[in-house]
Amino acid sequence: MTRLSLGAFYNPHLAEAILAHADEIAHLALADAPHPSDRSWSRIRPRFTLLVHDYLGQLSEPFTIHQLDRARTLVKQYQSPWAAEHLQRIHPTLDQSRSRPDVSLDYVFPPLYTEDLLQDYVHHVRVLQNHLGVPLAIEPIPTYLQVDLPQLSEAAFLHRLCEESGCVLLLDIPHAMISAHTHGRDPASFILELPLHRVIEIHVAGLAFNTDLNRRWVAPVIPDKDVLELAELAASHAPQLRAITFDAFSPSLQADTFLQGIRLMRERFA
Amino acid sequence: MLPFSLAAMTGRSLHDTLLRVLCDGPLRAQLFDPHDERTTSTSDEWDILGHVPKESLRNMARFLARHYYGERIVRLFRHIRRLAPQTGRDPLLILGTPHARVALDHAVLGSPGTADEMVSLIETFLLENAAEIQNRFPYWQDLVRYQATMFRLEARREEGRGTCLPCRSASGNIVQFEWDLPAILADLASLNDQQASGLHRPSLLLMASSADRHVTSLRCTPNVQRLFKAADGTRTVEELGIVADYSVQQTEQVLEQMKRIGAIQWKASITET
Repeated sequence: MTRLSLGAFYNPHLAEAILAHADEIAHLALADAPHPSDRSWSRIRPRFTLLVHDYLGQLSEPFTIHQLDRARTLVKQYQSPWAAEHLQRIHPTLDQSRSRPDVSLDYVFPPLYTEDLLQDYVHHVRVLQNHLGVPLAIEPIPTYLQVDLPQLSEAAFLHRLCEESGCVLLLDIPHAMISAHTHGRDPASFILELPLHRVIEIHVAGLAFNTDLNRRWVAPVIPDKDVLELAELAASHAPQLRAITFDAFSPSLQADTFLQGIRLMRERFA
Repeated sequence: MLPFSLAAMTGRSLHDTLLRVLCDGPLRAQLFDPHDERTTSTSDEWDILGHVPKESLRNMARFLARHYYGERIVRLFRHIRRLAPQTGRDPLLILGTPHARVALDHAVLGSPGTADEMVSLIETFLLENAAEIQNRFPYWQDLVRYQATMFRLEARREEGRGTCLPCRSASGNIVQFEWDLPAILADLASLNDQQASGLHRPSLLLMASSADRHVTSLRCTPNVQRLFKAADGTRTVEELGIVADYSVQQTEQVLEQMKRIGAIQWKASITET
């Protein structure tokens, strides 16, 4: 990928639609390794640039050798120019005494932006990045809960994480919009405070009202005008930007929605 | 036991507690109940989380629980869901009901109790007034029972007992079905009524969930069934082999496979002992 690449997430149930519109899609991000029964994979693999966006591990904790090797194997298999991992924390510190049950949210959830966690993330990002041999792009997760604790701002945390670990950034526009809303901030100024000079990839996605959270949240729908305009704004301040991805990954995603999302992106960025 | 220590609070310790509170409905109830005696031994983590707006915490917890169980319904009830266009019963719809909302609000993510509660709701939804479905898909009840068993087993963990002798795990079970479930599952989409009737013969399956929560089902022979039942943590490999009518080598191989899928616990292999 030498020019700005426009792509999407690989949704195996939409493989035929993806192949039929291959000239409009330059890259595919993979959230899961292809299933052995995926009959389209042999035609998908050589046709697109593939980006690792699998769950590699929780970056606040030490990686096992198995996790490191698996991550490197994925990068090699896909020939991915960089790998992505979420800036998330979904399970607590492993309780060696096993007096408390091991729990996991199984859904992205942000850490607290504290100094001690920053140091842990910096250390483990370095370890993973060294093992991968390609840049590691860190994707911040939206904040919904506000905890009354002195913390760094998300922007300050990300600036230091990028500087101290050498990682790059994957900026998800709806995530940033949700976090800005939680903090009562204007999304454009919130985004402009982030280390945009380290952004290598941007995600655009749709937002829809969520009845549990009683506000808009990421959903497998097409991105609206606000999302696309903020993506344009971020892109104009991101000199290292190499890819923009339509971040819709769900078994319920319809081919029409998928293709319309791609077209909307191409209208803005192609 | 409350999920915090008496050590100085850090961002990590606070976030650990937040994650546990989000995963655990009863723990959340304690957090917001000033009269609960268990909350009187306070900590910095507990104090800070007590100031997070109750509504926000509850909303986020329900959202996470809905996602957690939605993902499991999609994965573990996938055969039932494939038939949804013909049956009109997609188990995922259960998450939109008031009963499920209550269950999600009180859920302990990943616990056997909440899995049982969710499965009960799903079974009622799938099996109540299902005579027409049963007519069209005569193996319907077996199929529901199969998927429900997978859902329940996925929430059952190995107890981690330090036994050196093979012992049945809570995450393993042998289930008898009236129908040949493996044959039915192999070609569910194209199976018509006539073909299905030819598969009305019993099947015995060993079903288990591994430590990484991968649920497996395998056809089970009477020998394997005897081996599984006899593996109660008191018998050696040689003794189990005699029960199952296997050589020691065969017994060891079968036990290793059972261990891999989570059906038994076994700390040390025979060569190590």
